[in-house]
Parts: sequence; C-alpha cells; structure tokens
Amino acid sequence: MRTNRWLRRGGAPGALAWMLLPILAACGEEPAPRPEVAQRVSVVVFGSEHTEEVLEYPGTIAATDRAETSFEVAGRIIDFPVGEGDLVQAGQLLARLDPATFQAEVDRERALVNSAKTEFERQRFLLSEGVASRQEFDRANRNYEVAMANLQIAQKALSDTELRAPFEGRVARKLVQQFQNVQAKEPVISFKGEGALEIRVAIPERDAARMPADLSLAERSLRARPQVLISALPGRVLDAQLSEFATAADPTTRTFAATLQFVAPVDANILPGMTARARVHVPPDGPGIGGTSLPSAAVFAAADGSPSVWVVDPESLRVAPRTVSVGEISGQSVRVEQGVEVGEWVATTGVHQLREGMLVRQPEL
Amino acid sequence: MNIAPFWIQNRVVTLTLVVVLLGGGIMTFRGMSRLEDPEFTIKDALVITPYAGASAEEVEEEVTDEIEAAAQNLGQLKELESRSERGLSTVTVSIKDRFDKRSLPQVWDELRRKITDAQRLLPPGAGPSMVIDDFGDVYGVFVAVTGPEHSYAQLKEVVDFLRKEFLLVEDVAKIDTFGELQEAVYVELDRDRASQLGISVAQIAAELRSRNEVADAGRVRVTPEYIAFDPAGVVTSVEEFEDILISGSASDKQIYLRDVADVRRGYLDPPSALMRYDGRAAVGLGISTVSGGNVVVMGDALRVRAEQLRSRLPLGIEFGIVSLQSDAVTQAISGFTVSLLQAVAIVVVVLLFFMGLRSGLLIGFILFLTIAGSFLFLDPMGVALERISLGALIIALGMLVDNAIVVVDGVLVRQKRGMDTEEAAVEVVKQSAIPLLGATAVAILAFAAIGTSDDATGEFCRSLFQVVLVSLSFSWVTAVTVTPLLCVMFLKPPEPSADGAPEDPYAGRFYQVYMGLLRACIRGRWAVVAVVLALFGASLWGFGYVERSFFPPSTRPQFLIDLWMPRGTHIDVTRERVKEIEDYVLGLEGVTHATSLVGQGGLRFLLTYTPERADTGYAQLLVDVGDPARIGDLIPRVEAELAERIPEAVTYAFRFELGPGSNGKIRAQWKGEDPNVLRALADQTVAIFAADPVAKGIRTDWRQRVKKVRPLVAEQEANLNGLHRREVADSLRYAFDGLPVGVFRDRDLLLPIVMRAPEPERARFDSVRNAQIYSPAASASIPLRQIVAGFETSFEDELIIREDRMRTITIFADPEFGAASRLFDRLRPQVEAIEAPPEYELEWAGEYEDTANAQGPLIASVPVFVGIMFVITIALFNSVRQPTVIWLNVPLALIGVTLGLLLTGQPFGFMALLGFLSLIGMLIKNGVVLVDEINLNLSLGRPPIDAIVESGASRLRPVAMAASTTALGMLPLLADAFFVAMAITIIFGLIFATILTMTVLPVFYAIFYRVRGEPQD
Repeated sequence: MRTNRWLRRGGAPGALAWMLLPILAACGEEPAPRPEVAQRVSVVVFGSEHTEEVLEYPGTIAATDRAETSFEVAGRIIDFPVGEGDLVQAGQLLARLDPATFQAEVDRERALVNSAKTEFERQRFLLSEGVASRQEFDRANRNYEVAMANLQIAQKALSDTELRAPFEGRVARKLVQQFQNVQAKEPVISFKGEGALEIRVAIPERDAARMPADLSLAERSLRARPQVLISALPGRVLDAQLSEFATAADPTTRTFAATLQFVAPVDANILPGMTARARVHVPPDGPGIGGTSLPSAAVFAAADGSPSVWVVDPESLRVAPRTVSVGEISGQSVRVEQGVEVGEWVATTGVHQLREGMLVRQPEL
Repeated sequence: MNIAPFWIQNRVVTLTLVVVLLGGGIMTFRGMSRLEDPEFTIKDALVITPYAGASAEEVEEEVTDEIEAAAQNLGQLKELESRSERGLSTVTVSIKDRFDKRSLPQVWDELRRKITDAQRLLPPGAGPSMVIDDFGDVYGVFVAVTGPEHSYAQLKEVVDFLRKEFLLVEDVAKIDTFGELQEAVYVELDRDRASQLGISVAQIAAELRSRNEVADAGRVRVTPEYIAFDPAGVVTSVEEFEDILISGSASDKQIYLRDVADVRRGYLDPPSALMRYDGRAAVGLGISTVSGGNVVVMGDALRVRAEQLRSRLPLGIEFGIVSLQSDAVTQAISGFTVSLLQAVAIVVVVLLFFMGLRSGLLIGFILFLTIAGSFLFLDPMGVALERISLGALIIALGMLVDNAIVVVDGVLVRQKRGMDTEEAAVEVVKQSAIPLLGATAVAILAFAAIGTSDDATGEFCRSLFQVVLVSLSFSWVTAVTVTPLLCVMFLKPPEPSADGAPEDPYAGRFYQVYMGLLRACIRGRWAVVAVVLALFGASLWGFGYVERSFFPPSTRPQFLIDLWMPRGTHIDVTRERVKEIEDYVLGLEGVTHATSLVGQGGLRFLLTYTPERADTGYAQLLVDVGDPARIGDLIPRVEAELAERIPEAVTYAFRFELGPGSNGKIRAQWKGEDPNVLRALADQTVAIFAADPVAKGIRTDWRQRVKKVRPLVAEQEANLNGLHRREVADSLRYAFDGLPVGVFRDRDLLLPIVMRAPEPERARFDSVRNAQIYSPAASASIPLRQIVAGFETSFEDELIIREDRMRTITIFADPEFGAASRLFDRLRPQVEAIEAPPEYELEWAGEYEDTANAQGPLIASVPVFVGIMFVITIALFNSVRQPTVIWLNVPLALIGVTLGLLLTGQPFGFMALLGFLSLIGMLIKNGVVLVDEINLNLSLGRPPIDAIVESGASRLRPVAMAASTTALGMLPLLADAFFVAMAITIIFGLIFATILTMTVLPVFYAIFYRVRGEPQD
C-alpha cells in the first residue's frame, strides 16, 4: 500500500528531521559575556588628609590676680564699706577692726616711751656730771629704745586694723560678716584682679607622659595651641597660654595640675567659678592618633580579617587590594600607619563591591 | 456486576438525587472558603535571645550553642538554623514535614519547655529567650497610614485608635504595626557642670529611678477603718523631672536637675525600622484573619468600618494599601471560575462536534452534575476554592467526561446496530463498569504521589489530588448510575437504514484509511519500532535542553526591590538612599505606588513573602504597577539605574513567587569552622558568580565584616580608681547612644529614660577621648583617658550563621533573565572546582534544593503508586503481557512533552512534572480501553489481525474524543502563568501519546502475541 512504501522510504527520517528542527533551534543559546562596565568610585589622594588629635580638660575659671586678704591681727570688724562685686582702687579701705584696744596700746607705749625718754635724758645728764654709773646710763638707753620699738609695734598693730586693697580689682566674696570677730590671718575678703583669667585643669598622667620633657612653657604653648571654651558662651573659642605646670602628681587622682591664662572677652561677663574647658592640640608628629588618615569608609576587612584598602592605578584605572595597618578613629577618618604611599589614590566608596582588577571610571579629585 | 438496572428503573429516585446534588453543589460552591493560593503551613519557629554587649562570637559560643543543643533534643526536628549577631541570638527551628497545622502547637509547647529548661545554662546578662511560633501568620491586610501634615505623635495616636477599633471587626485575629517609633525621655547632662559639681551619671540615674516608682507605705488603723497611705512624689510629666533636686558631692547645696541637664521627650534614636509610602513617612498596620475565617468577609467588613471611622480621624490622614488579600482573592477566584466555565464550554462544543447535539448536551449535563456534586464532597474535606483546586478541576474536566463518553458511545453504537436503548444501556454498563473503574482508579493514582507528600510543596498542591480523587470517583458513579437513565430517557434510536440491515458504523472513509494504516504498521512492525525508538531517543536528548524551574513567578501587579548597603551602615544613611530610589521609581511610567521598608522586611502579608531579618543596611521597596505585564521591562531598567546611582550597595529587583520558594534561586553554601577560610571560599564563589554575564543580586548572608572600636582599659589604673569594664561601657554608652536608667510611666505607656551627652558631643567621635568618668575612689570625675590607654580599631564578624550546628556561609545569585536552571548548570562545575581545605564542604541550596525536596517525596512514592497501578492493570486482564503492552506506551509520551516544551519555551517545573504524572494515568486508561476491546473481539471469534484493527477503529472515536476533550479543555489554562507548563505538557503529551496509542500499541500487541500481518486462511 502507499502508506507502507512511504514508511519504508524516506518518510520516517523526514518526519524525524522535521520534529528535531525546533529542538535544534532552541539549544545553543549561550548568553554573550557582559561588556566590562567601569564602576563609579570616589577616591582620595593619600596624604591629603590628616587627623589632629584634640584633647579637652574640664576646669573652673579663676582670676589670675587673686588674693584672700586677711587682717594681721585679731579683732572685731566695725566697718565693712565694700560689697561683693565692687570695683576698688589699690589702697582703698576694705574693712576696719575696732581700733580701741590698739589705740590704747599705742597710748600706753607712748607713755612708756615718754617715761623712758625722760629717764634716759636724766641719766645722760648725770653721766656727763660724773654722778651716775655707765651701767645705769646704758640701762636707761636700752629702756628708751625698747619703749620706742614697742611703740612702733603698737602703731603697726593699729594700722593693721585697716584692711586695704592690695591692687586694683574687685571684691569677689566677703568671707566674714560685719561685727564678727576674726582671728589673725583669717581670710576676710576674696579679692580678684581685673583682666587676666586663668583655668586650672588636671592633666592625666598618660597625657603628661606624651609631652616632650625639655620645652619651656612658652614653647609648649606654641606647639599645642591651647584654647579655652567657656560653657556659658557656647561656640566661642579663646586663645590661652600655659602659665603653670605641676611636676608632681596629685596623690588621689594621679593627675598633674596645669594652669592656662587667657584674656576675658570684653563683651561678656566671665567670672571666676564658671565652668570651662581647656582644649589642647596634639602635634601630629610623635605618638598619638594624629597623622595621615583616610575616610573610615575606605577601610574594609579582607577575607583573613586584615584591614585593607583599594588602591587605584591612575593609568590603568584598575583597583588592587592593599593591606594596611590602622590606628585610632578620629572624626570621620581613621589613621593609617602603613601600607599606602603618599600620593596614591585610594577608593573611598563602594569598597565592598570592588574586586581585584576591576575597572573604574576616571574619578574626580 | 450491574447496578444500572436499579437506577434506570427507579427513575424518580435517580432524578431526585440529581436535583439534590445539583442544588446542594451550587450552594456549597457559593459558601466555600476562598483563597488566592492554597495555604501551606510554615513549620518554623524562632527562638530569640538577647545578650546585650556581647560580640557575635560570644553570642554564638555562650548562647546560641546552648539553645541549639536544647532544640536538638526535639525529636520532631528537621533542621536548625541560627544567626548569632552582636547582642542577639536567633535560632530558627524547622520541624519535620509530617507535622501539620493541627499537630504543630503541641510541638511548639515541647520546644518551649526545652528552651525554658535551657535558660539556666545561659550566661549572666543573656536572655530570657522568647519562642515565637506565629512566625508564619499572614497579615492579609497591610496598609500604610500616612499624614503628611501631621506630626509623628498624631500619626501614632491615629494608629492606636484604629488598632483598637479594628480588633473588634468580624474575623480579625490580631493587628501588628510596623515602623512605629518608640518614645523615650532623654536626659542630657552638661558634662562640664556635672564634673565641676561632682555629680555622677549614676547619681542622677538613681534619683530618676526612685522618683517614678510606686512605694507601699502601708496602712494605719483609725478605728473602725484601715486607711492606706499614699505617698505622693510620683513624677507625672517630663517637666516635673526637671524639678528634681540633686545634691552634688562638691557642696552641700542642692540644685535642680534642670540646671545641670536638659530633659525632654523624643523618639528612640536610631529607630530600628521605618516605613514610607509614596515618599512620605508612614506607620504600617497589619491585620490577620482568624483561623477558619473568611478573608474576603474580613476585608469587606474592614472596608465598611474604615468608612465609618473616617469622620473621626483628623483631616489629611490617608491609607495606602500595600496588600489587600480579599481583593486579590476575589479577583483570582472570579478569574479561575471564568476559566472553568470556558473549559466546560470548550468540552461541550467538542462533544457536540463529535457526538451530535443530543449526546453532546447529555454528556455536558453529566459534566455539570459531576462538578456540582464534587463541591458537595470537597467542602467537608477542608478544600478551599483557590488556584490549585480550581485548576485541578479544569485539568480533570477532560477526564470527567471520559466515563460518560464510553457509556454514551456504547449505547449509540448498539442503537445503530438495532438494539433497544434500555437493553443497550444495561449491557454497556455491565461490560464496562469494571474496566472503567480500573481505569478511573489508575487515573486517580497517577495523582496520588502529590497527595501524600508532606513537604511544603506537597501541602501546597494537595488539593490537586483531592479534587481529582473526588471528581473522578464521582464521575464514575454518575457514569454507571445517572448516565444510563438519561440515555434511556433522551437518546432516540436512529432511523433504520434504507435496506433495513444494521449499518456498519465503521464503513466511513476515515475509518478505512485508518484501518489500512494500521495494517501497514503491523506488517512493517520493526520499522515502526525503529522509528519510535529513534524519536524517543531524540526526545530524551532534547529534554536536556528544556529549562527547569520550580514554580513560575506570580502575576501580582507588584514587584520588589532589595537594597543591601554594607553591614553596619547607619539606618539614617540607608533611609537617604531609599529616598533617592523612591524619587526615581515614583517617576517611572506605569508605577502607581511605592512602599519602602527600611531596616527590616515588612510584616508577612503573603504566605510566600519571607521578610528579611533586621539589618540597618537593608531596605526593601514594594512597587505597585498598573499592568503586571510591564514588570518585565521595568525590572532591568530599575536595576541598571540603581547600580549606577548606588554602586556601594547590592541592588536587585524581583517578582513575587507562586508557591513556596523565594528569590536567591542560586545558593551555594560553604560549611566549615574558620570564618576566615569560609570568607575566602565565599570570595572565590562571588568572583565566579560575578564573572557570569547573567547573574545578579550576588551577596553573602554573613555580609561584610564591620569595624569595632575597643577601648584598651589599663587594668591597674582602673582598679585603683574602683572602675571596671562595666563602668567604662556605661560611660561610653552615655557619651553616644544613651544609657537607659529607668522607666517613665505615662498612663499606659512605658517610656525608657535615657541619659546621654548633648548633641554636639554625641556627634563627634572625638568626644570619646575627652569623656569623663566618675571615679568612686577619688569622688570626682576623671578623664576617661586616665584609665583607657587608647581606642583600637579592628574588624569583626557581626553575623555568624550556622546550619545544623555547623558554620555555614551562603552565597546568593539570581539570573537577570531566563530560568535559574541554565545559570545553575553553568556555575555549578566552576564552583565545585574550587579547592577547599579538607574539612570544608560545599552544598547547593536554593531552587536546586527546593526542587529536590519537593520532588523527593514525589519520586519516592511514584514507584509505589506505579506499582499499584500496574497491579490493577494486571488484575483487569489477568495477564502480564497485556499490561506490559499498555505500559510500554507510557514513556513515549515524553516525545510529545519535549516537543511541546521546546516549541513554547516553557520550563519543566513542578507543575509540569505533575502534568506528566497525570499523563500516565490518561495513557493507561486509553490503553486499557483499547486492549479490552481487542480481547472482546478476540472472544467473539474474530481473527487476531482483524480483532486488532477493528478494535482500533471502534475505539478510535472514544479515545480521540477523550484526548481532545482533555487537551482542548486545558486551553484556558494556557493563559494562566501558573498552569501553562502543565497544560503544555498534557496537551502535547496527550495528543502525541494518543496518536501513538492508536498506531503503536496495536503494533506492540502484534509483536507480543506474534500476530501475522496478513489474515490467515
């Protein structure tokens, strides 16, 4: 039959081929390799960024010229003409003790002086006459001189009943009240001079150890550029000078006291006792966190955990990994100690997406 | 056996039953539970243990290890995955497949007990552990509440109000929020003043803590009453905090807190999760349905309530809908129902074409009855109306009519021969009831493999089997009971032919051609066999070129964009990037809305959506489009643009998946001990992935190593000052993040009181060097530098992931286009070629594993069911040769399947596999019918060759009709992305196999029974 012959001849292979055609068409579709796309990165030139270490210490403001005045003698205060905050001239009367006793002392001594003087003159006359002995003349001389000295002491004590301002300044605090009995040398008035202010801070031993040992205070101020920030005036930074530095530590806190002087700003009322901070800049050479740094986002961890950065070759624009050693973080950056040379380009964005040998676009510098 | 006579004679009973089934079925259909996709149970629970301040390694060794050990004692455990990150341990416990949602709560209780027992093994400062077992709950309604002119506090008030109201709505189970900011009271201490006055943070903290506590002052008896003392002094507002008096050690004066600190209310900074909708800050509200409730009912009720409440909300508050399950369900179900009706219509048309008006309509009615009756039985079984069950019905349609066709056709043929209709009906049923039962059983068994799989995929597809089982069984029942009656009632015998002799129904030209062809094939049998074998070989080879996939992507009009900034990125930076992406995406044509989730994945609003765990560098955008077909264009555009704009992050976009499975289809896993080695292996893998032109979204789950700053505490100094690591940690915490010192009770809210340094100090890292710490020994504040020598910068792994207690790093990738299987085939040999140290292993997860897990139970049970089917066929014929002849046809279906898949470019996924398995059933059925007829003819005394050829002719129409009804009935499924691969498999496979059955099976029969080609004399 016709169908029979068709099967035996070429029909079957023909049918086969016809069925295979779509299969052949469907296979062999391997996707073409992706063209290399340059990744966009930002770079920074190593060596252009430095971190500076800034140390701050809290402290309290005090006046540079300050004194706690006191009477040399004990007594009762009868006159206290100044108030806290008053501006006084040098030598102005601040307080007066009751002079009665002292005046009486002076009078007594004067009487004694007069008597001794009379006796002295009498003995001198007698001696010149040859009637009295030399010894008695000497005694009378001595008595006279002693009486003179006692008078001076009593006069001085009398004058000590008046407390006068040692220099021009302000009465900071009245430590005792009027009509109070005070002892000798008991502080009566806290007195401060106008003009220079200072701040006392405690420097921890670790910071003190970092300072070079052989510099004078002026040289230190030049290197460290100290500044003062007053809490009551946020945002204002005042320049200061290092005026004192203790070389023995405070036993409890193990810190070293340092004093910085600064000039009070004229447009603000800065008074002793206000809180302030001293700021010191650590020069970048030497140990510390200051030094060449990179933005923190540029440093990542390689598979073995070591810190690395991507260095971009300026000619081929390809990246290569570089192991670095890092120091401390400061601000938005981290100090980089080894691994990158000054002038090299370091990628700062997309570090987790880069791979060795990857092409990057020409970055803007 | 013959049950037909009973039904034919008692027609009233039969007809009443028909009416009841029809009516009941329709009513059940309307009341059946509706879903978009079937539910599968997520058999995972999370055990979360905080361990504040510990590094990831410390968490791993001290906490995660203990929890894992405790969980391993659970006999029902399948797999254990753990994440150890800085300060937090998360262990995911996965339970074996065979536990379903009824037996799971028991398992969770046991897990809880074991975890509770393990608590005492945890180090101090860790715990307590929380077991979260509602991890798989779905929030069917997920909306974003925005109010551009409103402050966050007002927005939060609205959200709280809505939450209370909505909980009362019908069928609402629970409501969760997303992106809510936690409030706190901040106390910012002026450092210089504090140190000058000698006030320490601890002092103020103690003061604050004691102020807000409730103290019991007891009672006093004042006869006859017993009166309570109520000491006042509780702080009721933030302003009152400032009036607290603190005494410093420097003087005996007391000062107000407000003179040394700034007290105010704010939001916890940084937040842990943020949500944005269309570029505006939002708070998300997720609402879940009670178990057994109706999602559509809840959705409608919520809508109504929202309208009612609108007048009570401030003006300007808007709701953005991220996902509304009820709408999606309604749309999906109506779509599926339309497809079902289309399929029914097609089948009826085919029947009309083949069998004439009356028979066609009769069978159509039987079809309708079968479907309605099936619903009646499916609902009590717990089957819901969803994608799989309705799709199964469409697939089964063609097979449903087969039984009825056989009966009706048998009656028609006998009528043509002149038999009386009732007699014909009885005889047909008597003859074919058992073979039809066998064939139906075989067809059902072909689907049984999926019905018994407990894997998530099995659960997902289970209703396929259930629907096929019920509908096919029912179709057999109607074929032997109702159909004969209807034939008797409605089929009129044809007019006797002019010469009065019964017509030979097979005299037509078509039949003649066919019979001739058949004889030719039998004569040239070896040529036929050769051709067939060649075709089979070609199809085997061609099958290697078919793409493989798991499940197809969904047609949901929404796609996702993932953004992974480097680990450790501050969430504010991530948010800024997200804003950029939002601006770009919202400007694209076709995009309607965009929802952003920053810091973690959102609430689970779809069962197939797996939210990512919290990571400050992670964000996800859900982009709504008007037309889902545009997503294919948008995704590559978005990816290219984002890669350009945000090169430091990994960005990629993807669609939602249907069925279990997620993105990250290619997953390579390295297991071993040393993180450095694992990372090195991962780097090599990433390089291989990146070199492939099609791979995208390449990332690892361990993410990047992050920097950490270690204060180097000088032990001696610290001890001399009476300070320890704890105090150093506290003072550092105070200097930046803030130190929680207590809780402030504001009516129903508990706000943490946080002490921290003021803003300008917090913003600069360098403040840490100048921070002060209170030294109890000196009773004064000393610089932190006194006891901390320096701050070392180093790197650590912040995330350590383990699987089954072995450290495992996973590398993800997805294909930009095409199927993942192709990409996988290219990458696999390269990755396996990586040289790894001896104790390090490579495993493949992702789609490869999911497919294997899903197919595993299937492949395991297929031999069992095939065995049963084989036994049934043997039982039907009481011989071995005949079933062998039939079964030999089955592999040949591959020819059609391969051709179909390659022609249409569809991948061979899970659904296609199911389709192939079901083909087996259909082929067996056809084969059984044919061989049975051959046997019948032989028993009637026809010579073998004639018996074969005439059987072929007589079975040609029913078989062809069965095949065409099945194949054409699947046409509506070609439009459905989920079923298209299965439909192609079945359509092409069946058509080819039917051709083969009608031409090659007789040849095999002839070979096996040594039938000569020419009629013997």
